[in-house]
Amino acid sequence: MPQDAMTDRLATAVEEMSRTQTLLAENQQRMLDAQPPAEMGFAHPKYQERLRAEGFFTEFKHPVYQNDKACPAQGVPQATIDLVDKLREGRYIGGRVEVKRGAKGSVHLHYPSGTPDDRMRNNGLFRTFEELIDKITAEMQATGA
Amino acid sequence: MAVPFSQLVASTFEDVVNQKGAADQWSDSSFLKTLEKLGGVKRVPGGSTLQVTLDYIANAGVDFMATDVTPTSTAKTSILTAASYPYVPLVSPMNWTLFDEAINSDTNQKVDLLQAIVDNGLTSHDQAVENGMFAATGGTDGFNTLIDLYTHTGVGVVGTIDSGVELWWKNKFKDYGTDTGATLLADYTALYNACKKGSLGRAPNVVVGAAREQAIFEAALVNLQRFVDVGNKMSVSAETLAFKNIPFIFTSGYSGRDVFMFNTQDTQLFVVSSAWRKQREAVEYTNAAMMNKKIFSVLQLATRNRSRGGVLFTAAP
Repeated sequence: MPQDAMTDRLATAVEEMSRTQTLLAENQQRMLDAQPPAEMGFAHPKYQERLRAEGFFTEFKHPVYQNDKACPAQGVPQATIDLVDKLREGRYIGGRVEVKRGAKGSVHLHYPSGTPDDRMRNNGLFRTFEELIDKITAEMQATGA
Repeated sequence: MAVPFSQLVASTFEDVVNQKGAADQWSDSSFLKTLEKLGGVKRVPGGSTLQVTLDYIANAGVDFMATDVTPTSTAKTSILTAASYPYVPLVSPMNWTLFDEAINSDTNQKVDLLQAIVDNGLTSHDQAVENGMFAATGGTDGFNTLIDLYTHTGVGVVGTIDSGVELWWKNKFKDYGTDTGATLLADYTALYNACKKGSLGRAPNVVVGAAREQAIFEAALVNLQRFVDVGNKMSVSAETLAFKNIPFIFTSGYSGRDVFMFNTQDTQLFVVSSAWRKQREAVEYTNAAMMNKKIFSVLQLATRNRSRGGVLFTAAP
């Protein structure tokens, strides 16, 4: 068979294959679209996996209290959770925040926050829980506490 | 020249058929009515601000004693703080002319005009409260919205307390994405259990969302067909829906995709008792042949326990 004819047939075959692949992909998508959505119950392992990924079961390594009020860990970044557990006792942020560790490892953060004025002043020093922990950690590292 | 009135017009009165005044075309304050039924409208005496004392405490000094002489904590127990909210006035003003009043006489009135105006003023008032409770973030002139009381990340400044700092003040939240069926119900359960904290804890007693979300919830339920009676009659769908025996209310005041659940003893519509739907006396304008009457309220939507309430949300369109 002449070289040109072979090239033509090869090109046609490649084109045909490409069309077939496109058709297959389209059909596969149609089949997927026709599938009912997965409806996992609460106990389904994948649903439990999703809850964990969303941080629904996230907890601090030891209980954390802010002015004796228990803190939930849902939504707190893992980096902050790790840092909280490394906090050491002392006074930080100009002496405004006191860190105490309980006998069983619990972390107690004490600072004035009873009045709107207290809260406004706190807001000037730390605007989020993450910032509060970052600042204490930075001071700990700077002073070698 | 054609006569100005046809024979029919000249000879026959209109057949005006009304049921207790004009037919209401627009109002529905289902959620406000539900709140009232569940004790979620709290009548209070009023004050410069609304303040709720928070005593949700984990006493740091509590400890099992290693021996009977183990020293106990002597640190002063500091357990109370407060959330503070401003009161907000709401007014529904009504104006009519002396001419309107005079010609709407008993014998020729299709409806009592003044009564219709006052009825409309009240429903307008209630609809404003209903809409305000679901207004966009930021609220309405200081009146809080559930969108801010229960946020998608749990954080936000509510009652002057910043839950971005004070984690104990965060609300619960759950993303339900595009979930349907059993997965959607699992989302509801996850949020409900998180709000309730323990089996005997104070549970949410109301679920509220838009009509669409209530319908999606209904679609997640099974066996919606029920026999109406012993005859061969069936009814599809349920008239009222509930989740764990708590009513799922849909409101005309909201069309977004958030669904809120909370206890109406925690999150309440606080209304100053002397100014709740208060109908003031009608007064005559000085420089106009007109009358004015106001329906006036002082109120605020507030919570004393964010951590026992929450929101189901989705970013899906």
